[in-house]
Amino acid sequence: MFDRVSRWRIVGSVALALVAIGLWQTEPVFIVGAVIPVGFLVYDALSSAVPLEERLTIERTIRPKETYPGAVVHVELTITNHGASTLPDVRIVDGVPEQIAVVDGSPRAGVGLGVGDMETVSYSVRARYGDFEFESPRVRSTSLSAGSIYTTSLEAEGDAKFSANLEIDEYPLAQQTTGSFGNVSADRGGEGVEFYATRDYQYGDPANRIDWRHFAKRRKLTTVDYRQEEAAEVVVIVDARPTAAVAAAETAPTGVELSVYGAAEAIDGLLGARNRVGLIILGMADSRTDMDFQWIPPGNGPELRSNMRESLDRAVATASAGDSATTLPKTNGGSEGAQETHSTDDDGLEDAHIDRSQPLQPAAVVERISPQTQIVMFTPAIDDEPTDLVEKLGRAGHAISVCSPDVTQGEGIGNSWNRIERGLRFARLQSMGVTVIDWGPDDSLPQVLEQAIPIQQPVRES
Amino acid sequence: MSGRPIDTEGSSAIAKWLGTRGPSIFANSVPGRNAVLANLVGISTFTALGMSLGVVNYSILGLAIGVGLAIAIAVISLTHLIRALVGGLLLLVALGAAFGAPLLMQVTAGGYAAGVIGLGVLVGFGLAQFHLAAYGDGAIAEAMAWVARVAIVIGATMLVFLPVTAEMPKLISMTGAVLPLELLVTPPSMSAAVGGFIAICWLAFAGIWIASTAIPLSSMFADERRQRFDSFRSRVLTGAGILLGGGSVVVGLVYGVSAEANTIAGIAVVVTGLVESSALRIGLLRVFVGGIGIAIGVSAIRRVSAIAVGTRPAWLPSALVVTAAVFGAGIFVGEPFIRTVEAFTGGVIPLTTVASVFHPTVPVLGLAFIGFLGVMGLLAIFPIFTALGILPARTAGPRLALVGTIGAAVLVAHASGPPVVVFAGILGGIITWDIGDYGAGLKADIREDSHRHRGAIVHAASSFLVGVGALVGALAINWLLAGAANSLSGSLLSAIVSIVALGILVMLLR
Repeated sequence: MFDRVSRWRIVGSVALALVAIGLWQTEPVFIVGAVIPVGFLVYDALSSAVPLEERLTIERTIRPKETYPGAVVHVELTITNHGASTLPDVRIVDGVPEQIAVVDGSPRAGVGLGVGDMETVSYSVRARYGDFEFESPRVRSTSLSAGSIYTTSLEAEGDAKFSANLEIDEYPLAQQTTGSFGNVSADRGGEGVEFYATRDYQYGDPANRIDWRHFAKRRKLTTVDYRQEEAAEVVVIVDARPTAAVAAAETAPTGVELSVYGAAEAIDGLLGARNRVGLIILGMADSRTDMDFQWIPPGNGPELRSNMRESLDRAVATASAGDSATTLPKTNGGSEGAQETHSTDDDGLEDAHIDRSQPLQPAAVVERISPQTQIVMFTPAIDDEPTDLVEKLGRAGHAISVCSPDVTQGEGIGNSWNRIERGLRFARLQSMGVTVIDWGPDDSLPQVLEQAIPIQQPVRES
Repeated sequence: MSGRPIDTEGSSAIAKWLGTRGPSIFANSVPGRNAVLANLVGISTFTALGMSLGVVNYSILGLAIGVGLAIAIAVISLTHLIRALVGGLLLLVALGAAFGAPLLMQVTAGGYAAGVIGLGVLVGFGLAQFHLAAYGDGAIAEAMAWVARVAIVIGATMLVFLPVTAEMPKLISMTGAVLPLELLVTPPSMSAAVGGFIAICWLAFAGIWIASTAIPLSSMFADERRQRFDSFRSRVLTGAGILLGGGSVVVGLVYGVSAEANTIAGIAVVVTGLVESSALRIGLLRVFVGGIGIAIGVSAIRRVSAIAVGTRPAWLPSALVVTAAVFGAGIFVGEPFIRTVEAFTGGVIPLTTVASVFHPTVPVLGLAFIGFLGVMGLLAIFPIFTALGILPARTAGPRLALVGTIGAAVLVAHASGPPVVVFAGILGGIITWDIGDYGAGLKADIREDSHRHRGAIVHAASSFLVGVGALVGALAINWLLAGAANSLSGSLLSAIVSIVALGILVMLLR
């Protein structure tokens, strides 16, 4: 679209003023001086911007196109002048999805292109959970006098989308738990391979487990117990409270998004290894059970996997709706300040709503989880409530790993203070024997999960 | 989902107390390369014009004052204790110089010096605005707010100082027609003496009570000490009430009884001394008026900012320093200053009379208050121009530079300077504006100034070529006209000029 800007009007005013002064003072030099601004007005009138559709091609490259939330995605725009004339001033703005933050470089550029010239504009964005599509770049050419502009959107060739939903190929638990008798070793005697203990023979014990050497020496029947290998029972806890829906910047992934993403991958891996997996989503009240968290009891199977995926999706969607629809508390303490309950019925999320008024009830969570169950918690650890919950679960004898996406990496004193507080929470958890993994924005999720999930079985005598 | 920045979620009071890093004074509204180029052209053109007028020093002075003014406004907008002080003082100096120097030059040097300084201020301010956050984004409003706050602190100080230094007998006699205070100070009869003494004691107590209520002293203490302070203040007020309220009645009664009985002895001597003491009555009256003054002053300061009293807003130390400086000036050079001002204004403002009733510091503070309001009014011109579209925030710098340079070229022409200098001045002004305005548009479009942009150089070069062509054309026309003036009649010349003007109008209105 052609447009003419009125920037030279002030020079016209200068010309008029000079002529007026010249007439007033009867001094020809002023009037003659007006020739100079008039010359510029003529120059502006004669120069015009050129249309760009037939002259420019733009190619976009996105690397990688599939990644995980929080990862850096590199974008390159290559602009080529295929026209027969030089384009001295081309301004371009790439159509970055508005939810995505540019972390390096700029999607805006001004370039001058000779015939056949090519310019490359590079920048990087920080991925968030979901699929994102770029809009067409906006391009503008200006005339030499900059009084005439031509603005249009040009379709970019090449890549237009990237996705931050990557399935992890090599999941650490795949090597740790297999079969209905998984290879996560239980500290419990029974059938298996590894020696665990001997005990007095009991009627009905299999003959192949009788310690015949012991019988030859002592003339007493004893039975060998092997360390049982069994499927692990793991409960994944996701911190999706409004308090956790904070980010390092407006367009950075929130703690809830990252926690949900990490939990989804962990659940897939655990279920794939045929472990029994349960799910607790904090901050998402369940109207069916009247609890202030979503609870899916441990189990296995495709239906369970589907249920869990749906619940996690709802957690992100609900936190997203709450984020935009309500004013969230000014403090990090989720229990401070009255907050509204946000119904999500309109979104078809009839069973869930963000419970913004209730503080976390650790006792109710602890009650639901059977004692031998291992816990993997995903939380940004931005307040004390998850730490308190972990402490109570630890007292109940659970082996616990905490995987914490870091949403405090921004600048400013507030972030620095939050980082310090988060570090103190980690120290507290580690002093309780909890495995804590700090998931930084540049750490890959597979590595993080590898550290987080070599789960220790709770000690239990057979 | 749009994530909330965690920085704003800081739960910690310490984090909030520490605050965040301050902004920079640099806005770079024109990208670096364009700004440097425009600055070079602008400064060299204006200096050359000054040189042609023989006032090159004043042109440099004007540019420097303009740059100083821009720095002052940019610095003052930073919310910081020291920066507000530095920026505020610099603003006063720069504004004083911007208006004072041309006036002074007009009186002393004459010629074109005053005009060149004034135009230099415009050019310097405009060119500096390419880099500094001196215009737009509330920069001028911040400067105006600082000036207004300082003015209110000065005004409040004057109100407090006014009753303390007042020559009460003079004041009472001057205001006798309006306020019958003379009855209170010099009573005509015994009963009037008793009644006046009691009334003046009660007024003094009222002054103390009003002042103690107005000043939020307790907010300066921590919670645990506040209660103790409040109880202490309550005891002091009760004591003052008993002393001034109850005591005055008792003293009045004793005085009346002893006067009736005509027995002046012992304690009655002391009581008579108290009741009939004109100095004591004036002192008590001062306490009353002082209390009222303090209450009005504190209320005025609190109007400026709810947290101004009892806490330390960023501007308060700078306001106190400026007020202290004005106060000090009033004490040490108040009298000669008042005489000078009165002589300058031809006695329109009766400052000497005011100074005779109050201390000379009072009229000095009053003049400073009025001066600050004037400064605020001057700064208010900028937002008005912006609202009218004369100086849009984005392109105000280039426009000011253009106006200043063209103005200087006009002065050169008026001084019958060489036409080539006049034309070069006009060309320099237009090229400075063009490069700056183009850069501002570029910045608005692509925001980054670091990205390579050959377009800026191409644009500047083409403008320069066009300008040189126009300059050559103007010189040629000037030469032709100089020759034609001898042969052409005045009416034909007027017709040619009218056609040129019409051509310009057509171009503008097309």
